[in-house]
Amino acid sequence: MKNQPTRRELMKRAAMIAATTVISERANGAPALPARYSPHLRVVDGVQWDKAPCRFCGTGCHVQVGVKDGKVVAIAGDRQAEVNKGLLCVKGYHVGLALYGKDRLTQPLLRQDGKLVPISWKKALDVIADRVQKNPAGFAFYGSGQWTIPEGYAANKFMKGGLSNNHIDPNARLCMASAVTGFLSTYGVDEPAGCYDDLDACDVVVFWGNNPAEMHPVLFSRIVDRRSRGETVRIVDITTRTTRSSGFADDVLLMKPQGDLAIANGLLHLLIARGTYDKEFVEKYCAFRGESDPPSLNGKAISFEDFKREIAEYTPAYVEQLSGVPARKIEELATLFGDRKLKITSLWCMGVNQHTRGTAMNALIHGVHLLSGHFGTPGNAPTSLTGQPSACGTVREVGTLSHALPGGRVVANEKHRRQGEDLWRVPHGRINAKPGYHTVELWRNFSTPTEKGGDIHTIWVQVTNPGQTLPNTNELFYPSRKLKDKFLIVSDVYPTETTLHADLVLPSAMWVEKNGMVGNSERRTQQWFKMVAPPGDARDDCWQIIAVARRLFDRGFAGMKDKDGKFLFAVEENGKEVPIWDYRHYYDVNVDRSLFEEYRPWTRLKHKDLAPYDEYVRAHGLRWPVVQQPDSSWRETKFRFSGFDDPYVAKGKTYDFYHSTSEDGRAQIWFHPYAAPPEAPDKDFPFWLCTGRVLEHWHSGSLTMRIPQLRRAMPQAYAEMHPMDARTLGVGNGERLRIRSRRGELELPVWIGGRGAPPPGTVFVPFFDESLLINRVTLDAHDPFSKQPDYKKCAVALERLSTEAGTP
Amino acid sequence: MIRRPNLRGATSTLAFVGAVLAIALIGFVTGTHSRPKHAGYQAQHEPASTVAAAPSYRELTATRWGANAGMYDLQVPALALSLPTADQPVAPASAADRSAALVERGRLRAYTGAPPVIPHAIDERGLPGCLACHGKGAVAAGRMAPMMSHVVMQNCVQCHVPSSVRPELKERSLVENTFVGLLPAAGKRAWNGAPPTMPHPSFMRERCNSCHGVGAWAGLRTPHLERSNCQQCHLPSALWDQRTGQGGPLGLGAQL
Amino acid sequence: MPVSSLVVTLLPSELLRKQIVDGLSADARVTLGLAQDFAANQLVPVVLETETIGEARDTAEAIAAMDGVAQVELVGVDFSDLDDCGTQTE
Repeated sequence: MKNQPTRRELMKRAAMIAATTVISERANGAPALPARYSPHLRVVDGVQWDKAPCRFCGTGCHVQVGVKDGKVVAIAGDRQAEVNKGLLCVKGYHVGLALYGKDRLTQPLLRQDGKLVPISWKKALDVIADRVQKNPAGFAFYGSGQWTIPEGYAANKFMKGGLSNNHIDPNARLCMASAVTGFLSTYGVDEPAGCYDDLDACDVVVFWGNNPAEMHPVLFSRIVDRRSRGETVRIVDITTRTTRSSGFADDVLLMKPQGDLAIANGLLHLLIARGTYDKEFVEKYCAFRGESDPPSLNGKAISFEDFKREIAEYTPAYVEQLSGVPARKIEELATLFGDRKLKITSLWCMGVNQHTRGTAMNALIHGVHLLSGHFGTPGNAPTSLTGQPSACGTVREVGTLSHALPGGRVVANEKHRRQGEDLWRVPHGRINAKPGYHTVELWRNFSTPTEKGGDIHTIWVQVTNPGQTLPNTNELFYPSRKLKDKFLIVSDVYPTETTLHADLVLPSAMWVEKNGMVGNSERRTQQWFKMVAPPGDARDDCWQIIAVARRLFDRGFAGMKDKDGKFLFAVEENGKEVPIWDYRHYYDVNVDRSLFEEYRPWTRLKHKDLAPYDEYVRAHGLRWPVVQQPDSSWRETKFRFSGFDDPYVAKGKTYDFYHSTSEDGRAQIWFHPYAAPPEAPDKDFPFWLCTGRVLEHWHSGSLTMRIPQLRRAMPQAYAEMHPMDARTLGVGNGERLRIRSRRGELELPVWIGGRGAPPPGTVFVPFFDESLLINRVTLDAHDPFSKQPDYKKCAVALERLSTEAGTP
Repeated sequence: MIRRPNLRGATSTLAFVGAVLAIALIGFVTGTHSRPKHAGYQAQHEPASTVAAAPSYRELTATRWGANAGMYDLQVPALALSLPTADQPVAPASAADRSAALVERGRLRAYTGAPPVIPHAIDERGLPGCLACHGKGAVAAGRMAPMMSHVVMQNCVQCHVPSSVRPELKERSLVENTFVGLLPAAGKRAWNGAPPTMPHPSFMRERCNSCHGVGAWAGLRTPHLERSNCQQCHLPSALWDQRTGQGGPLGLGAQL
Repeated sequence: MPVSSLVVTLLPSELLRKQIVDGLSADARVTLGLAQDFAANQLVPVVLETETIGEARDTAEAIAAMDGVAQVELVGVDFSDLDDCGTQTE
């Protein structure tokens, strides 16, 4: 039987039939996998699992996303991720549900006769192009630390490289700007030197106005779970109200608002007065700075003797008077910092950043670590945390700020502009040298009538909800909505306070409905692939920008052409341009990869080198600088400025601050005196108001309030206060209270014995609830350098509203 | 500011667990205790003079904390006694038992593998006293407090949040969510009668007894409580456990 | 000798497609089936005949890493002719 096929041939034939069957099934309508090759893809029991960073905070946990029949069906912590090692918080475990709120925006909407009516994408793009062409200089972009890196890069290029317009600023201005100015004024370059590995090694961790048990729970567990393993870690909590984090702390330093400035200065004074500062480290690697007149981020050089003299005022007794913290507690903390054998890590976030002296406060914490030598070895680090998934990656590194260009450049520097124009291949002179409006200025201008000098006529908002999160919205946001010639464009996934008042609403794809890259708090750049299709006609934010750019290009708008006349966002394959502005072809190529590779050369100037896109596909994020090794592999950097790890430290040096503002390899220890807060309780407004977040909700709650498990656990905003104050006012739990400031008012139920315990005279209100907008009450006073407002302290009056518990 | 002195000295995990056992919860038997009225709630939390100090970690070894501290002190051993013991015969679960158990499980989870929500009130301010009942599992008034399925982690409320709205706060926005969570699958058997493989990750579910032990729903309980080395016969899946994540599309991950 | 059956997705580039097909045809272990267009991409059924499952995996990864390949999906592996102490690598 010669022609009988052999067993092997039968096996091969069966294999070929199997593969061909799969293909014909797919061609006949079975859902296609997105075009990707992910080395992390697993298929278990019919569910496809792949990695993605969590959509929420700046911790940067990796989740495993389970997809079945084109929908996300499950989430798991990613065990191979160094950040979270398989653990998540309740938001992360439920992040998949964020895609499926029933009221997703699925089509573009244009306000006509006061109502939002559906229109086509073609019409929507034309409307935006018309607004740009009306007057390109008055068109502004308001973005986000939730923009992916390619999205922020595209927006930045569109505005600064395309429109020669620097009016682009992100919501991160409200959250990270003071951390940036703190790093710049201390090290000459942004972002932390240490990383999360410090949390595994430290003996002491200091929370400066920070409640990571709720806001960065995975990092908090990384610290406290060490205790379950028999390790000792001492927690010092410096705070204005006791929180869940305080519950785990060995020492709680309950301070008056603004008292942190006094405490940090008190520590600096005691380290010098006791002689316990690190003399060798300071002599070799530090210099001293004082505030200059006029004030600047560089200040003026001062001597150690000057510094010693100035700081001497901050004795424990004086610090106690300013901060309300007992002198003994200040002395104890100074003893810890004076002990070189201990490894100390500081963590801070909004308490320090949302501060009218935020730049100073950031610099002071760096100063305490530098002066005491608790710097640069594993466990010794001042580490600022971020609240958004890509506040670092997109805002700070891509530079989507009104004064910045990618890679740590600024528009005011001519050399930086030239480099930028060359990298973008646009004619010299294209980038405007004048910084644009920062967030508060931008919205104030938008809310000012044109005839009174308000020269911003249109703002395009992406991935953020300023109608809820701007401070003092009664002055910054709502007035513009009554001005006929002010046009608000909003790209979002759900209806929000902002879309409610918008003139044009664009439906966006979110998270794993698109490709993306983000950068977390520890310099870690992360990547994921699109896994499911967005609903209806929702489309990628990045595509929206490119499509508008193309519409302008097609209309002959010169700014959307490079110096050879080519489209600014052209993506070519084999010498042929791929029409990525046509959404049907957007995923013919990986646009993220193309934009990221274009961005990479920008990152080398400040030694924030990024690896090629494909390296991030393989890894669970890499911490920059990522430098190629002789064997062609890519190595990340955990400890910046430290000779044993950072490849950019000069050979033979133990430490090297190679972007030093004094240009001698030294970091700056600043003297920043205490200054009173701009508004404090008085006879008419006798209470402090502090605003913040809760575990279950993320920022303005537009995602988390649509997740039943999270909403039920924390259904609405409340006013948290001390029981004695409640009794004086005559309010009980669940009863309603009116909170009134000089700017606005709000009615809220009281929750006593809730999450946190504010001291007498203080009321705390979370800001997540879109039906109870506390930012109608808050103050827009801001830090002079970072322009970041202070949401943490203003004066309010409280008034009881009803006697019936829970009256709606 | 009033603070209690810190108790210095070594803290072992055992001492911590002991301390937590001494900490009681607000009743976990939802429905059998009426919720505290606001006035009483307020009075209980009112400290003697100024702001209540948070307890230090070390203080926990010697101090009870929370409104109902001590409520169950003497009852925990008695509660544990009411569980069936390993030598009692257990009937194999019927299909109806199993689906009933999965429905009950599903009530508290967004998808299989999600951390369950907490079906009872908790003390928001106290440190988690969860281990008092969930450390070993307990049964009271016909309700079961399952033993936790994973190793002890300190910040329980990071992942587990209450499922019901507190009396003080109201659900104001009620947007529906169309998410459909993954359902649990049954273990695969090589042949009829072979021990099933694990149909879920073993990570975070290291303690099989949590769902399959004495205190488990009848439909999930093992018929051989006396055997304690589960993984001798029931194999975990490298795929479920993310051990083959680097395998690429061929990493034995794809299935026909 | 395990026999693997794969679906290889090729990106829309004539030049790269030709390179890939030429490269794969030259490999004696590889048998190519009839390609079919799918959206802008092209899907190719591929059968791999290798000494070990490990080699199959490496080969599939190598294919996936080729320029112009969007992804490689495994449909199945037949290793029924492996003996008990066969060359299983996992």
